[in-house]
Amino acid sequence: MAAYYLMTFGTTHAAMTVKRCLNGKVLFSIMPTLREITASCGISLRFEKQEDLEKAKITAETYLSEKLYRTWQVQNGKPAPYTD
Amino acid sequence: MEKINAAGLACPMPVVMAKKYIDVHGDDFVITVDNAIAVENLKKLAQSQQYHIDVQEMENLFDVYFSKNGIIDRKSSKMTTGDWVVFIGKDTIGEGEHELGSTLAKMFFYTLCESDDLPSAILFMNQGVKLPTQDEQIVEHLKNLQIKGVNILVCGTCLDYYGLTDDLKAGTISNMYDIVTCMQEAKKVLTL
Repeated sequence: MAAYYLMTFGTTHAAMTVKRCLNGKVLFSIMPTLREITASCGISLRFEKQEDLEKAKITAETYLSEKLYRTWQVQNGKPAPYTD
Repeated sequence: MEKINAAGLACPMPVVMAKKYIDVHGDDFVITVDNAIAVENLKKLAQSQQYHIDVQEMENLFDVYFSKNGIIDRKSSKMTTGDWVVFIGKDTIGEGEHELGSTLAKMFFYTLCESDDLPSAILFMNQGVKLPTQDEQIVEHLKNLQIKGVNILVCGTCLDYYGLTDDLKAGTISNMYDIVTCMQEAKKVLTL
C-alpha cells in the first residue's frame, strides 16, 4: 500500500479550521483518525503528496497552537510521526 | 476470486468497471451482467488485456469469469456485498451543523470503502442526491464501492428537483420502484 500523510488535531474545531482554509487549494481527503493514534479528535486530513502536507502545516502553524495538530506518515496502515 | 455486480447497468459501465478492476488489482475476477452485448464487450476487453474468459448463463444473468492463466475456479468466487442496504436521505449525517454533518458523511464513505462487509446497495433520495453529484471525495468513494459490486441508486425525481440530473458523477439514476424493491429484498436497511 502506498504511503500517505496525515494531519491529526487536538479538537474538532481545529480540524475544521484547517479544512476550511485548505478547501480548493490543496488536495486532501477527510478520514477518521486511525485507531493507533490516540489523544486526537476523530477527524484527520489525508494527503497523498508530501508537498500538500507541507502546505497544510503552514496553514496549521498560522491558525493553531503547536499542541493542536500533529503530522504523520502512514505506511502499510502504520502511522509514524512525520518530521520534515 | 472477487465478484463484481454489474447487472442492471447499461453499457459501457460493465466494461468500465472490469477495466478499473484490472487496472487496480490485475488478478482473476468474475463480473455479472444481464445482457449479451455486455458479454461481447467484456470478451473484447479480456482479449485486449490478455485474460482468458469463460461465461456462465443462469436466469438471464451472465457470470463472466476473467482468468489470467485460463483456470477458472468458480467455487472460490465470493460476493463482496451483503444483504443490507444504506438509505441516504440527506447530504449530512445527523442533524445539527451542516459542516460537521458533511464531514461525517465523507468519513462514513471513506470507512465503508475500506471495509470488507459492504451493503448490496446505497440509495440516495431527497438532499442525499447532492452527495453523488457535488461532493468530490464521496464521488470517488462511491465509484470504488461500485467497482466492488455495490449498487448505487440515485433518485431521478430528486435529481431533477434540485437541477442536478446532468451532474451525476457516480451511480445510476433510479426510481421509487427500484428503490423500494431494493429495500424489500434487503434484510436490513440502515438510514443515515
